[in-house]
Amino acid sequence: MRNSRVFFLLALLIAVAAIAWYISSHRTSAGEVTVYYSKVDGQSEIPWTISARAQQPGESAAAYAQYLALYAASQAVAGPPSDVTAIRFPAGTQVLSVTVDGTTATVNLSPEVHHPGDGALNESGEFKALIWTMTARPGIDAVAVRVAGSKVATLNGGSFELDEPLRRSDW
Amino acid sequence: MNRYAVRIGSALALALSFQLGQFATASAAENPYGYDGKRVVFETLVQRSGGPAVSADDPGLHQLVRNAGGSVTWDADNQYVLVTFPGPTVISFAIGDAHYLIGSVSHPAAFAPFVRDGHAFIPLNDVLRALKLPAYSTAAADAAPATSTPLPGPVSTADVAPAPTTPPFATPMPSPQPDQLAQVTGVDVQVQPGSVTIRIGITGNGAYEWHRLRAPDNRWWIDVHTARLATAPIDQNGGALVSAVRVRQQPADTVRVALSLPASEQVDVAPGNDGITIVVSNRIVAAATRGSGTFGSIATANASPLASPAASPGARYVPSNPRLIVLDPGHGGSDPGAVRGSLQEKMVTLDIAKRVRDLLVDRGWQVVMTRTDDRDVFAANDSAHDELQARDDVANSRGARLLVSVHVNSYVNSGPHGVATYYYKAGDLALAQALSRRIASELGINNNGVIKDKLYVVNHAVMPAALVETAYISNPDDFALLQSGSWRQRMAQAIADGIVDFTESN
Ligand SMILES: [Zn+2]
Repeated sequence: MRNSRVFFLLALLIAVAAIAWYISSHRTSAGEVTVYYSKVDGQSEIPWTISARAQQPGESAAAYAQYLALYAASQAVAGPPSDVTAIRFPAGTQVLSVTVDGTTATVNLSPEVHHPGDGALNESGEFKALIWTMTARPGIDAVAVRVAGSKVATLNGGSFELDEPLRRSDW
Repeated sequence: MNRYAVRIGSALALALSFQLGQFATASAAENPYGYDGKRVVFETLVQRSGGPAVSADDPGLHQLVRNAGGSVTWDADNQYVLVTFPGPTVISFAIGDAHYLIGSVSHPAAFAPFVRDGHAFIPLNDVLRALKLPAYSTAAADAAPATSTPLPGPVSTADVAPAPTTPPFATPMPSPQPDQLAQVTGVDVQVQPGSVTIRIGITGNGAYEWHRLRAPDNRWWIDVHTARLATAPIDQNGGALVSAVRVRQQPADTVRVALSLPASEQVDVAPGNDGITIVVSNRIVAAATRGSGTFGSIATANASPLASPAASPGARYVPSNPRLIVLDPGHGGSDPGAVRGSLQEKMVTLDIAKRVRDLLVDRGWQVVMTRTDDRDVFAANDSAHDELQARDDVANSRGARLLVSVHVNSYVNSGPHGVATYYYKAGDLALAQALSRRIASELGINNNGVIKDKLYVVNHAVMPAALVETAYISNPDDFALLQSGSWRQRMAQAIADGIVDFTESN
C-alpha cells in the first residue's frame, strides 16, 4: 500500500516534469530565434536569443517557419547590438529574401555585401554568423547564398567561396 | 541554342540512347515524383524486381539531389556512383554490389547497381531513403495516370516488349566450365597493432582486380575473376582499421571481397601461390585507386596511379611534378585587394611571392608564379570565379607539389593584427601547419594560427594548398611591417622554410 503510494507520487512527479519540459521547450521555439555572431578572433560563435512575433491565428506552420527563417537571417546580417564587438556585414547589407527548399535555405543578400578589400577574417566571420544562425533553424543544414538574386563564386575581390551551399562543417 | 534547349536535347538524346539499346524507359510524363510540394520527372526509370532503377545521368535525379545541396557522380573507370553532399556525406553505390554505403555504414540495396549502354543504374528508392524522402511509386506521383502493373513504378516498355532472352545479369561470354574455375576457399583475418592482414585462400590460377573509392568513402574491394566461392557468404569484423570484411559470389564467375575502411588507409595487395594477401595499415600513403594482377602459379601484381589529380580530389594527391611549387600572389591588375594610402595589397603580395620564389629556386626547386607582374591572371575586370580558377589552373594543370597563395588581411577597424594561415581540405592542413610554425618562430609577429576557411583558391587546388594572410593593412603596427622590405624578406623566408619543411615530411 505504502509502496504503491510512493510509486504514484513518483509517476506524478515525472508527468509534471515532462509537461513542464514540453511547455518550456515549445514556448522557446515559438516566439524566439537564436542568432549567432562571430567574435573578432574569427573563431568563436556567440548565440543570443531574440524574441519574434508569435504565430498568428490562421497562419500555417509553414508560413510561420518561413517568417522565422527570414527574421533570423535579417537579424544575423544586422548583427548584435552596436555595443557588442562582432564581425559585421558591410553597412547597408540587407536580406532581400529567404527561401527554404528541403534542408537548404537560400539567403538572397543585397549588393552592399560586396566590399572589395575585406580580408578573410571579415568575409569568413560574416558568413559564419549567417550559416550558424540559419542552421540553428529546425530542418535546415545548409545555406545557399545569393547576391542580388545571383549565384557568385566569391564576393567582388573576395576570397571566400560562395557558389555552393555552406554548412557548419565548412569551418 | 539556349541552355534550356540544350538540357531538353540532352535528355532526349539520353532517352533515345536507351531506346536504341533495347532498353526499358518510361516517358517523362508518366512518372512525376512529388515531394515537399515539388515535382521531379525521372526520364530513365527502369523497373527491377527490387524496385525502380534510375540512371546516374538522369536529369530528374540530378535536380532532386541538387535541391538537397548535393551532386551525383558516375565514375565509369572505377565503376561506382557517388551522391555527394558537402558535409561531407557520401552515399556510394558500387556496380554489382547489392549494398550501398552512407559514409562508412553499409546498407542492403534493393538490387545491385548495374551498367547498360555506358549508363550506371542505381536503386532509386535507396537514394530517396538516404535523402529521407518518400519512396517512389505511381501512387506517390500525383499526376501519374493509373497503370495496371502490380509493381511500383510506371509501365515500362519492357513490360509490353518481347521478353528479353537473357536475364539482366547474364554473362555476355560463355561461362567457363566449373573445373576451370578457381575456388575461393575462405578468408583469414588477422588483426595486429597498426595493421590488418587478410588472406584470401584460392586454389587454381586466375586474375584479380581491385578498386578503392576516394575519400571520404574509403571502400575498397577486390574482384577475383573466373572463381567460385566454395563457402557460404562471409561477413567478418577486422577491428578498428577494417570495419567489415565481406565475401560474396558475384555474377559472371567473380568472387568479391569488400572491405569497409574508416579512413584512407594504405592497402597492399600481394598475390601468391595459394591466394592473395591484403595488408591494411594505418599509414595514409595510398596512391592508387585500382590495380590488377594474377594469382596462383602465374602471380603478378600492378597498381595503377591516379589518372589525373582532378579525377580524385579527395584521395591522396600524387603530384606529376613533385619538384614544382606554385606561388599565387593575391589580387593584381584591375583588383588591388586591400588598400591603405598608397600601399596596395596586390603589390605587397607580388613582392613577397617573388622573394619566396627566389629563395626556393636557390634551394633547387622549380617555381611557377600565377603572375609575375601587376596583372589579372585571367582578364581585367573578370569575375572572381574566372580569376581564382585561373590561379588554380596554373597549379592543377602542371601537377604541382603544392600551392601557396599570399595575401594581406584587412578589417574595418585597427584592432585585429598579425598573421593567419588558412586551409580548407584535409590534405591542406599539414602544409598550413608547417607554414604557421615557421612564421611563428621566425617572425615573432602575433600569430593567429591555422584556420579552416572555405577560400576558393585553396578549395579548388587539387594539391595541398594554403593561403597566408601575412598581416593586417588596417592595423598601424602591421601596416608599418608591410611597408618594410626587410620584414617582407623575413616573411618570405618563413614561407619558403615552411614549404620545404612540408615537402620533407609529406
Ligand atoms: Zn587578399
